[in-house]
Parts: sequence; C-alpha cells; structure tokens
Amino acid sequence: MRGPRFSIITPVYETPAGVLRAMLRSVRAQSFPGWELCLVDDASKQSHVRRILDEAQRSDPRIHVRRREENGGIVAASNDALAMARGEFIAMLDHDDKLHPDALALVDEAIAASPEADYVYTDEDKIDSLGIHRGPFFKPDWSPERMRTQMYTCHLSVMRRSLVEEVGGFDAEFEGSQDWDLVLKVTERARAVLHVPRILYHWRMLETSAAGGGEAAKPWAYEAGKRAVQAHCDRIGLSARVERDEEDPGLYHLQPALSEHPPVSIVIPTAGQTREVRYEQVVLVAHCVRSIVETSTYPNYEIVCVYDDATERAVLDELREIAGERLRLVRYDREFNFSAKVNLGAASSEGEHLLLLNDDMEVITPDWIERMVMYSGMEGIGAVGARLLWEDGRLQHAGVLFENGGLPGHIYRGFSRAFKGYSNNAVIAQNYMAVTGACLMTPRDAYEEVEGFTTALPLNYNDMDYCLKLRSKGLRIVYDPDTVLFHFESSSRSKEVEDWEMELLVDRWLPLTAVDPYTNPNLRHGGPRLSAPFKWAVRRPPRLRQLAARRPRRR
Amino acid sequence: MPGQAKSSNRDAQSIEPDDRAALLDEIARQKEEIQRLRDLLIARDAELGAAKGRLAELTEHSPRLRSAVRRLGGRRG
Repeated sequence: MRGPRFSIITPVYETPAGVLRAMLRSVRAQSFPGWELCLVDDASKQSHVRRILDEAQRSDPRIHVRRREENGGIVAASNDALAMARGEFIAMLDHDDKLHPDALALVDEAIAASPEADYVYTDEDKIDSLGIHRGPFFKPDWSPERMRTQMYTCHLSVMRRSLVEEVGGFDAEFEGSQDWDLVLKVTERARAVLHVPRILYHWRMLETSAAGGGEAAKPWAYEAGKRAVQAHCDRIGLSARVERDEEDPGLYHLQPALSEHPPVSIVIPTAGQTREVRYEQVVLVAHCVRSIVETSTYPNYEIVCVYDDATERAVLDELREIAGERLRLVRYDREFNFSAKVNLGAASSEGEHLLLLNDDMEVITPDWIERMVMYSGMEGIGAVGARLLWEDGRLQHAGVLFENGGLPGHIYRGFSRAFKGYSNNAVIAQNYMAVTGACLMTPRDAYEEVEGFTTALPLNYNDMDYCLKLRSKGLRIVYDPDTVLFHFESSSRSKEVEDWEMELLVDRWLPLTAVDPYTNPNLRHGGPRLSAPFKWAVRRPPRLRQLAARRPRRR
Repeated sequence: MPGQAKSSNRDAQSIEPDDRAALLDEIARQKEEIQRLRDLLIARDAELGAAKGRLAELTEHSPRLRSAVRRLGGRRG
C-alpha cells in the first residue's frame, strides 16, 4: 500500500501534558491531509504521557504510537520512529514544539513545484513560557558553506525517506546533534534542496531545550555538532579542522588543514599611489606587499604587480626589495581599465589559484591564503571573499546582497567590527551572490571558464559581474569572516558609480539578481544594507487561505 | 628654505661631541614621543570607529523601532 506524503517522526520523553497536547493539536490541525504521525515514547515514567498518546492514537488513524521498554535516548527513539514511517518524506517534529497549520501544505506545494527536492526546510520562530512568539528566524536559501558553521536550517526539516534510510538514519555517535549530522549526510547526496520562506515551525523555549537553555541545557550537543561537521568535512574531502566559536556555542569555524599547498598568484593592479595610513604617508602597493610578505604563512605564492606608466621607478625598486623572488612586475601601457589590468596579471601568472587584491590592503590574518585556498580548492566553488575593515576598524565588506532592482550593496557597511549581524551572518562563513573583488580568490579553471573580468566594465562592478558569471556556471561564492584584512578604500580613485555602469550590470544580470537567494523575502530592505527584521505577519498565499477557510472549526 | 638648511648644517658641524650626543638622544626621545602620540591617535581612531559603527547600527535600526512604537501607540489609542 502506498504510504502518505509525510511521516512526522516525534520521539517523546516526559513531556509536560499541556505541551504534548499542543504538539498533537498542531499536527491534527494540518490543512494538508496526507500525513502520519509516528510517536515513540522513550520509556517515560509519568503516566500522563501514556494516557495522552493513547488518546491521540484512538482519535486519528494517522497517529501511531510505539513504546520503548527502556529509555534509549533521542537517537534510538528517533530511529524507532523512522522505522515506523511509510511516508515519502520524513518531517522532524520535537515533542514540545508546534507546526503551523499550513506547514505540510506549503512544503508539499514546494516539492510539487520541484520534484527533485530531497531536502526542504522552512523558517521558524520560538514560543516563550508565556506562549508568546519570539525570535523569528528568516533564513537564506540553501547555503552549504553556512551549514558547516551553523545548523541554520534546523526546523522544520523535511527529507526524502529513501535518502534518510540510504545514509543510515540517525547516528548515535552524534547524539544531541544527530539532526545536523543527518542533514549534512542527506544534503551531500541531495539532488535539490528547497527553502520555504515562511514561519512554519514554532520552537518552544523550555529550560531543558536548546531553544531556551542554550549550552547549559545540552552541553554535549555542541561538542557533537563539532564532531558531526568534522565528519562531514572528512567525507567530502574538505581539508579543514572544525573549531567551536569562543563566545557563541552554536557557531563553528573551519580552520585550514591543507595537506598540499598549490601555487597561488596574488595579482595586484597598481598605479603606485601614496596615501596617509595611520598618520604616515605610505606608498600603498609597497605597504600592501610588505604586509603580505611579513604576515603570510603560506609557503607557495607569487606576487604579480601590474603597474602602469605612472608608477615611479623608485616604487618598483622598493617592491623588488620587499618581495624579492616572489615578485613579478608586469607593465600595463594602455588606457586605464581595471579589468584589463587584472586580466593581464592573470595571464602573466602561473598559480593554480588567483588571489585578486587591491593595492590599498593590509593583511591581518596570517593564514589568510591557507583559508582562501581551503575554500577555493573545493569542488563547486567559484570565488572566495574576505572580511574587510576600514582603517578605524569598521566593517567595509562582509558580503554583498542584490536589492534595488538588481543593484549590489555591501551588507553592514560602516557597522562596528563587533557587530555579528542578523542571526550571526557577519561572523560565519556563508554563500553570497557576490563578494568584493578588493580581495577575492578564484580557481584559475573557473577564471578561464568565464574568460576573466569583463573589460566593458573598466572601473566599477567588474567584480560583481565576475561573480555573477561564476554563479551562472553553477559555482558558489563564499564569504569567509575569518579571513580579515584592512582596506584603505577609495584612496586611489573615486568610487562614484556612473549610471551607465548600473544599467549595464542590471541589463546583463537582472533575471539572476532580481531575487537574492541569500536574504529572505520577509526581511524588509530599505537600501543596499541588510536592513534588520522584520515583517512579522507572514501572509499566506491565497490558495492556502481558501484551504484554511474550508477547514472545519474546532470547538 | 635652502639658506636656513645651510645655516643648520654649519651649526651641526660646530657642535661639540657631548652636545651632539645629547642632541641625538633628544631627537630619539622626540621620535619615541611622536610614536607614542601616533599610537594614541590610532587607538582613538579605533574607539571612534567603534562608536561610529554603533551609530550606524542604531541609525539603521531606528526607523524600524519608530515604526513599532507608532504601531503600538496606534493600538493603545
């Protein structure tokens, strides 16, 4: 017999009566009828648990209950629930949480539109002890790089059952973070991952739950999270060591653990200009190259400075003195065109990875090249960007979002470096449509595939255009917050963007940039910055409103 | 001015060795002091940067808060 569309799996253990009943009510209230609820009582001692579950089972043939003789923990109980499931998809629901009435209907609608979906997740919020909804989390679309630094998809998670079984279900080795481990395993093999930008899951903040109690509630869970991500990195061949964030227990960082050091060419276009930096007049390119040579720990790199005729000979001599044999000087003798200078530098270099760098930069992170190679060396990556700070420490670059009809903007530009961003998005690795070309690493293969920088954009937006070309080839762009440099921005030329440049970028890329997948439609954007939340009322689409209206009222 | 530079040069050559050492010490002390003041300025710039950054955050968020206050006020009314 064909099973239902969704099997909701819910391990139950000593759940307070009111909370348990609320969870069950939220399932029975689903506007989508094709579900079953697989409940596993993990040997609760409190009698009300058995009574409530029995009542639920009697009240609806779609509710199934199994009891364990002994308490086995969340993983054992979840696997028992999984064994009961007959549905095409598994939906994970905790015993003290609630589903939105249209949760399954909207997930079903999304899957119907993209039948290859193997994993679907939705937005979520929390319910406090007074029953008030708080802390909505409006998530970005699928971001594999973010998933390694934060379990951001969390609730509601829906996975194709065949794939869950293929990867072996929940793994006891990662008890406490078994859901993260499972999502990582499933998404490693998933054909498509979908995000439904609606709050369809309500996570109850109890002191015993991670939503309410944080690390104090489940300290082992965060260590298990670290192990789960490490195991994932090992499986996919990502040369990284996972570390926990020092302040936030739910955040993680990847540290490079490279076994090889492929050659890297740092391409720096320059005109040899000077500027006051920290109350001293410096030749920017010399300052930049000195910081690379003195700070970097990566053993295998060359520096390719593309200079034009305005560059003084003394500057070139100074560069030779600073960088020695690492330096390659390339003369550019045509009309100014930043893209052409970058392309000339790339053509004159040999590295497996190109690191495009403005000349008004100063390296802060010693293993910055290792970090960028760690990402750039991964399959599917087109470009890697860094966290850039102005001279006074404020954020200059922490990623780019496309808004305002397809125009890009740096998020959190001018905010303090201590600002962590919406749901920590300024301090964790994640994907964007584009990153700034002021410091950008790209695999040479990808660079050649898209034929480098577009010379029709000689000054502005050539980096955005480059990233979008990579995206159009299906490659991901990564922002790494742990690669940090100073950027003495706009010191060398005007940053004024001309109307024709905007029009050209929009004309070339508007279908792709109309909706930026790395923000959320529920986040209101007033400008190029990522404006803070929120639009609380999440409107239902008309079809679902009709469905809800047809649902019989409960007395 | 070239004239003054020549004059200073002559003065430096006519300085006694003990005075010259003292002068060099004084220059070194002055350089250290300049460095100290420069470091202070850089630290102040960083503090100012943090404050400006915080201001940018508040400026960004204030329209949302004002709108929330307006909505709450409207409900009470």
